[in-house]
Amino acid sequence: MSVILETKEVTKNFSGFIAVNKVSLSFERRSITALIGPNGAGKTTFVNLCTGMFRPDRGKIIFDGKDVTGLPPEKRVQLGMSRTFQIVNIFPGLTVEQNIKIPLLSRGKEVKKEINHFIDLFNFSQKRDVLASELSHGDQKILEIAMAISTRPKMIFLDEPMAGVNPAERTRILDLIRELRDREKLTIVIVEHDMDVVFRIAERIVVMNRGKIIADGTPDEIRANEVVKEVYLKGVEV
Amino acid sequence: MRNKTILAAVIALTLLIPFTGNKYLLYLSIKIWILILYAIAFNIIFGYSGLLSFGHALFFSGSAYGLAILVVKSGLPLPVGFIAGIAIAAVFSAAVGFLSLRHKEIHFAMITLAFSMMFWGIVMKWRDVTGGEDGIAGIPRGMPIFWFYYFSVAVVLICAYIIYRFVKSDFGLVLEGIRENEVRVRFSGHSTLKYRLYATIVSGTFTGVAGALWTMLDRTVTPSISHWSFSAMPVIATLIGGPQNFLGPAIGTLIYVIAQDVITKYTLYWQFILGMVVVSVVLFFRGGVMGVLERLFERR
Repeated sequence: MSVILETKEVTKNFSGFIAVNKVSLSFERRSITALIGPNGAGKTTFVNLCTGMFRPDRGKIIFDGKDVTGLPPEKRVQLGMSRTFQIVNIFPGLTVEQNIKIPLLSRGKEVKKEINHFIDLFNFSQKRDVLASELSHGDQKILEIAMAISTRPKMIFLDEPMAGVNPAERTRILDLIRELRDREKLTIVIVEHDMDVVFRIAERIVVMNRGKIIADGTPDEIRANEVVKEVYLKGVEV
Repeated sequence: MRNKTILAAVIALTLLIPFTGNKYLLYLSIKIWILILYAIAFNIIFGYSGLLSFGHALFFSGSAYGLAILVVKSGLPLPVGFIAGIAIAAVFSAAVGFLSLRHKEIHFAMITLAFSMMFWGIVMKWRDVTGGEDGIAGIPRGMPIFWFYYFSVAVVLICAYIIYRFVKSDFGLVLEGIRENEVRVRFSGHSTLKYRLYATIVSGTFTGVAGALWTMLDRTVTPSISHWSFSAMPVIATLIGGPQNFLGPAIGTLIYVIAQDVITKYTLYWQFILGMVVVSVVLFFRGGVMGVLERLFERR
């Protein structure tokens, strides 16, 4: 196993509020890591730094052996990084097929064949020509994952993929994430509040609080960690 | 399919206009065809990529003045002036795009407005070259107005077809993506700046074609086509017709020019009445005339 992404002491400051404070993390290829922590812990900001939404004030980000710290999001996507957002981020006025086609076009090869592949993979064959705005919330979440995968990434960040999704759709998304890791050979980082989901899927859990990492380990280690229990898991059945 | 038949029939009917022998109708019809191209070209970046340019008069008049100066003052042949005028519009749109595309929404509108008014200032002041307020007269048309009608229709239809293929291509799809959700396009691996720049150049170049035709029709150029109000024309026409439909700007232009022509017969305040029309369309008829028609047909 080798490291695909490494952050070196990345820091992000929003006019005095340190959202991410000297975070150094590395992610192994084809692993599923969950990033958890209370609201405002800096999880989404960390994802935004990794994917190029913001530039860090300090620190370095190395992706696949390349320093990507100053690169814009589209360049990072071209290098093989992809993501979904906390709040559904799709093209509401375009059809399902068009939504998947736009990211595919940035890869440029065999777009027609690939569209069919992804439409089948995500079970959208009945809804190809439906406007994305007319899909159920769960389907929109799945469509966004499909769009993120269509860029053929090596690594994908899923920011709260289960938020606002009903239990049946949750199971579907969960199966999908595992399948993606196995079939598409992806490295996955998932930010999630649903502890049931986190402990079912993650091989490694990183806990953040106030911009810092307070724990990092296997699900069993995190369950037993006193500090984590204190700040985060208090009252949560795990 | 039925829509295409109707469109073809309408275009075929308009081909009979020169035979009516009515000079004014002929002139007005050519003007409408040219302004339709202007509005369709403008709508590439407005309707498809979601950028409001308030400076398209710069590309229109850049081409018009380019042609006029090269043909009248430098004595170049008309076809050379025609091509050179369009090339000037292309260069202008590349420059303006390069300098202003980092900005969005109202900022982009204001910057394009500023560039076009700068050009208006130059046109007004640089009398030796541009003729100042008087403009430049004596531009040849190269053919009788009877044939110029068919020439204009052919050029406009060919350009419209190329623009149609352009906006319906994969490139056009990414432009629509930018309009819908720019962040998602960037996270899909596309440089939105590059797409917007190319779209602006295509838009500006075809606007230049309209400008060159206009100069040949009028046989004079005056600063009025550099003025910001001339940039507002395609904006208003497109809002009336509907920016989300390819033919929206064309329908809007038709309504705009005819309304202007009819209303001025009764009152000098045609802009007031047109303003009321635009406000009510924007407030009550989402998607303009074409948007309303589309919804009517869907309901059936």
